[in-house]
Amino acid sequence: MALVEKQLDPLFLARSYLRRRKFDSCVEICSKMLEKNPYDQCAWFMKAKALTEQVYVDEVEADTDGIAEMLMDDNSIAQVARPGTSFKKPGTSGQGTSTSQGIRPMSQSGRPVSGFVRPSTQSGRPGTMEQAIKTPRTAHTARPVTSASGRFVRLGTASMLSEPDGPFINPSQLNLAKYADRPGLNKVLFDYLFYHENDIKNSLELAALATQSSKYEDWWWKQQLGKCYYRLGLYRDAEKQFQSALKQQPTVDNYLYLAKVFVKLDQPLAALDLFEKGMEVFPGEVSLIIGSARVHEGLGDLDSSVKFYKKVFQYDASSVEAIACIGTHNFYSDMPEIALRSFRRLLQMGVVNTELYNNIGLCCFYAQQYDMSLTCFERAINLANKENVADVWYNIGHIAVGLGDSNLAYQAFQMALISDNNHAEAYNNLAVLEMRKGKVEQARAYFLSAITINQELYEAHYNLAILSEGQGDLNTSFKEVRKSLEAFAEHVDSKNLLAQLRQYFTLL
Amino acid sequence: MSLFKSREWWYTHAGAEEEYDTCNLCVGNVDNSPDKLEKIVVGSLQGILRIYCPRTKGGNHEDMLLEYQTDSPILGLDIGRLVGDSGLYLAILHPRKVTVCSVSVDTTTKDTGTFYNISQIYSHKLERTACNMCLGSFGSIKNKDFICVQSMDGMMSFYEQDSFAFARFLPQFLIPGPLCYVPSTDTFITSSSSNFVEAYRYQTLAVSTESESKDQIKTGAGKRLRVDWKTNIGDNVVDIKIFSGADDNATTIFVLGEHNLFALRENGVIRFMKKFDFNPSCFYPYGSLVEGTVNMLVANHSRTCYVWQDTTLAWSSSFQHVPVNIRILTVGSLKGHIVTLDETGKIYVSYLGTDPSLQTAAPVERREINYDEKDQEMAKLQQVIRECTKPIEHAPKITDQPDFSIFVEPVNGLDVVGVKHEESDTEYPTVTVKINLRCSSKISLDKVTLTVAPEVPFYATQRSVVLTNVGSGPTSLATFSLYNTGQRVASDLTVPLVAHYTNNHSSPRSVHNSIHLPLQLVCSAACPEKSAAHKITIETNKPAMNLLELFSEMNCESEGGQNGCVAFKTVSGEVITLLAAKNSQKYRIQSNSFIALYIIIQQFLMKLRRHFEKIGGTQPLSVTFPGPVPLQEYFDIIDSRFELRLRQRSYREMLSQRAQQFRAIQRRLLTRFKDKTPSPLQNMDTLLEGTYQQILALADADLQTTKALEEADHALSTATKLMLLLVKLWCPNLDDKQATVLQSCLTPDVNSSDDVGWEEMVDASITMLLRTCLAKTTKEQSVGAASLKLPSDTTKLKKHIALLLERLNKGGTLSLNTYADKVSHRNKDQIESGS
Repeated sequence: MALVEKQLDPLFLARSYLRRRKFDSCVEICSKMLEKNPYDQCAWFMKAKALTEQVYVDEVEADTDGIAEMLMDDNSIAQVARPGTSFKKPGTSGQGTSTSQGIRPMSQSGRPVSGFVRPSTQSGRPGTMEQAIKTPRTAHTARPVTSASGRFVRLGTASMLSEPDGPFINPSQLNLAKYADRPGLNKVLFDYLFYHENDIKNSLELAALATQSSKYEDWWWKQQLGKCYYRLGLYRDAEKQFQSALKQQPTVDNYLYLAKVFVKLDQPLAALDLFEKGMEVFPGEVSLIIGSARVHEGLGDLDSSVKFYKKVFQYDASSVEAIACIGTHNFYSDMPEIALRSFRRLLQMGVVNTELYNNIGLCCFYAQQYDMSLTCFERAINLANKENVADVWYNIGHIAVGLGDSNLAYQAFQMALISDNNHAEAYNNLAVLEMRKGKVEQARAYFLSAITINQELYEAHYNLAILSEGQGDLNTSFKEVRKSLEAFAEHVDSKNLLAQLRQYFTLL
Repeated sequence: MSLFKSREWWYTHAGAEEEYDTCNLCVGNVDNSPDKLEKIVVGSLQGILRIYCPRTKGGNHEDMLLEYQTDSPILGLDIGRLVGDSGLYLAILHPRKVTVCSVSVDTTTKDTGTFYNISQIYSHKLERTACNMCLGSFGSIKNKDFICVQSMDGMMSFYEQDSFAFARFLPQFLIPGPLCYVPSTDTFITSSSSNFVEAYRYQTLAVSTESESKDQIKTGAGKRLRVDWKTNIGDNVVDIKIFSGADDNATTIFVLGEHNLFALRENGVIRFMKKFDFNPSCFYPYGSLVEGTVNMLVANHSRTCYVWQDTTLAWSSSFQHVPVNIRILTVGSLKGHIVTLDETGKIYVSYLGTDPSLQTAAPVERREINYDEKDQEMAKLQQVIRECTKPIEHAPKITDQPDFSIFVEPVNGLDVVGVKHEESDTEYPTVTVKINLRCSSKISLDKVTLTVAPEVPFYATQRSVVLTNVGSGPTSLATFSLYNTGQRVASDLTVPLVAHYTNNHSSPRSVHNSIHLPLQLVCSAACPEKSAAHKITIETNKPAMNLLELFSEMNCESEGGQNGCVAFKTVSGEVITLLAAKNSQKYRIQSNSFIALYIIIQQFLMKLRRHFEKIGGTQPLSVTFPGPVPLQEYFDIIDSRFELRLRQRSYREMLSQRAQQFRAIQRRLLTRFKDKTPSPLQNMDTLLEGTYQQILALADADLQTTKALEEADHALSTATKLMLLLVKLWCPNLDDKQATVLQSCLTPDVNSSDDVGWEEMVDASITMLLRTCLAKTTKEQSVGAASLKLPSDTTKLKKHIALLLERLNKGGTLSLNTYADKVSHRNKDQIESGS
């Protein structure tokens, strides 16, 4: 049998391994072939391909906003956008359908909590450099200073893996003009430079040369040019390239890339329009529908968002993102039983993680299935890791508050703080418990901690205002209630308190 | 992610340690048996051919019809009408040859069951290493299948049954792609390495061959071949399959990419596409019940099988393995079994069902709960928690004596050799202080750290000393060398001393004391000066002392001091003259520097009191200051410091404004540079450079102001101390308690690093005093409290200070009883701990 095996052509085997995604074996064979004959184009091709595939991440999904991008952003058109036309003011949906903060909590960047974590769910933009730098750096809000230095360096570290005889391709020694003319090799070389080496400058040069050599007829190269421009932050140029590629050949990716540029340029309506057109060309393309739903969610227009997520079900009933988002929406729309069905479906589909059990536990609690609730939290804690155990404890505390077991609640919130010292909500609730015990100073300290960690947490501001008002410190109370209304303008209790304080002041 | 799992109907493992790729599976009635049962044919890269016929659920060894070792690896298998008759034959592709075989039942041995034979019909030797092949009735010849083999270097060889037809090289070839034949258009579909799907007509291939000689084929010198059509799909092609519906016209070419699935029409136009969020491994299109649509089975590398109806997901279920090829098999009357082969040779025949795919999390440990035990444990834990969260007052009180006391030996005179300046080689006056630790009880401490914290102008050569094994010996000795650099006039001759350690109960403790420095460290005797800018006169009720005697340690005679007149010169150069009146009971202290007066007055009064205490007598010594209080000098110091504060603030404001400007210019420049059409910079770079220089200059100026402000802080602090001293002597009924209140209001702690400055703090406290205990009318009581903001000038503050002192002198009392009590209480505590 061994003899038989030896008759196999190594190139055939390498091709077979590449198809079966056994990249290490493929690279090994190709390296051997290249040792024998360094000019073997086929081996070179397959090695580059295998190395690229090892680190491939879909560029449509990879996106992180750095501080520099947000502040040195000179692409947005209007500084003060009209309601419902910008991501910068998430709460101001034009249709008046935005949900109230009192019902659905906000993330640390002042955006409704989403049911699905994706790279750009934290893209609230700070107003000034000072604010951006002061924003606390917890593990959850960590934001690289620029995207060029943050995530992509991590993604591109493949170039740092030690290879026994130096890097496979040294971009600085490449004669890009020569490779650009070779239609068989240039695409794989581009992918290698872009994904594996993360060398955007050389990729861009290669793409530009190759576009020329293909006489501007290959839409793929235009798409790559757009990708490079996007990475370099030249969004207007990226837009042009994607538009041109789209005109030549409408593909799903081209729509998604162009929409991504529009989102980056803070033109959500243009993005929505584009998704609409894309759906006409590719009816039932789930990624386009989801993209549209995400934009609606980003605008705070949750009703439309859910409409699109429901549309996803017509074409792909097992889309995890859609199920999760609809579940979350139902939960915050006071329908825990229906939300429970969504989450249970996810569990049946094999999504087994802390967050899911946590959500199911909460749904069970609100659906008055108390016995299941605690079991779910028990499981959630069993599965939890350091990052999310704090949230589970927080929710257990929340439930204990609901059951009236203030002792358990107190311990649970303490546990949450032990695992995550920056859990603002836990501080807030702990403070409320202290307040009920009559330990006013301790409560005040906890409220202040909560506020320092998360400025957007209107509850802490309001509670502190109430506390100060009770002690007769009307000045602080007034200040805090104003901050509370800044974070959540429609909060009725805050409004009442403010009116009351105003009355006091006029009496004085 | 799938809700269901596929149900296994039949399973076998075709050989251990063998490898299979996507072309190594085919399904069909290969032995032409009359019952038309479909057989599964697999051939491994190790060259073993196996044929299975699944008949019953589960499967047994009888299902294997044939196992046959060939002499070279099997690269591909296919079934077709490859021999003249209408029967089906098996084509096996090896690297260097393609063989056509017939599979038939062995009729010679009947008694021990059914055996199958494989026999070669014909075989072609291949010039080049083969990659893959496809069968089809090329040239639209009915009921006959031909073979087309693609070699690794892109040569298409055509075999019309047992004869070689022709061979052609594909243009611009690098890596062979999947190969397919479309009967309706008589075209071959393949993919190029630049992500194009290409179509070549059989006609075109055949016609251009005729003009070529055989040599050219061998050398590979092919003529340019025209492509029929090509489509750029921008994705790497994994597999290509052809599907023609019931009506032959609607042939669709399905192309499975690495991240997308494309459906192309016969002319290469994209009909629809579908983006995947997974990595597909193989797929198989089949007829759908809904007209106009095609169903597809797509398997991926995360062990899931999807059924798509065009672009709508109809079903998904999980698999047991990652298949390399997927087919549909009919077993008898049962249609629609899914055959999957993975790379290790596991073959599953399964069907879709509604078995839930349960990936359960590790179950939570379930034990019989003993409630009594749990309750006990709970109670125990609650106890622990309660103990941990006990408030501080329940903690054991610190009543025990400190483990040792610090004794500072009195310092007598300066060291002979002083500490030298690093550069100028001048000697600073230096004293060496010896410190003893005496343990009160028989305990030994491993480590005690002694720290001194001298204030400028005093420095210590060593700020802390670590003593080990304290208590085991009789005493522990430490020495500190303190010296005076003369940067400014000293205002305090005591230096705090702290010993901190961990006691035997491993809790941290500290013991405090202070070092009293001799006056010699601050000043030396000098020749008295007759005139001076600032003069202070003090009256006593005892006859004037002999000053030489009083300051005996200073050696004043050597510099021309007399009984009634001595002078001192501080290290920083100020001369202070002390005069005693010959006839009256008055003393006068005068100097050109206002703040230098303080240390001498303070020391003089101290010595005076000590002297008369020693003598004793019926009438205690009383010292008074007749006034007027030197307010003008004091206000000058306040003003100069305030000016510095204003300057610092303006520098900071300018700095922030310039920084903003700098960022704005940077932003504009960035836009310019980003612009594709280069535009002139309009001197923006010069502006950037200029702003940068400004920022640097401003930062330097701010630094200098901060330094100057530190000096001013010290001056103000010393002047305030002097004022407090004088006010106490000036106002007849200001007792110690009230003096502490005054000190806490007119505080000598001046710190410019705080957000709230000294001026507003003092102003606020004095306003409070004036409003409450010193108020004369009710109108004054209703004056609003001052806000803690930097005032625009100091007139208000000065007015308030003058008013305060005037009222105090006229007999006003600082009787904020509760408040004063608390403060004095705290002060006493401090004193106690200090001794």
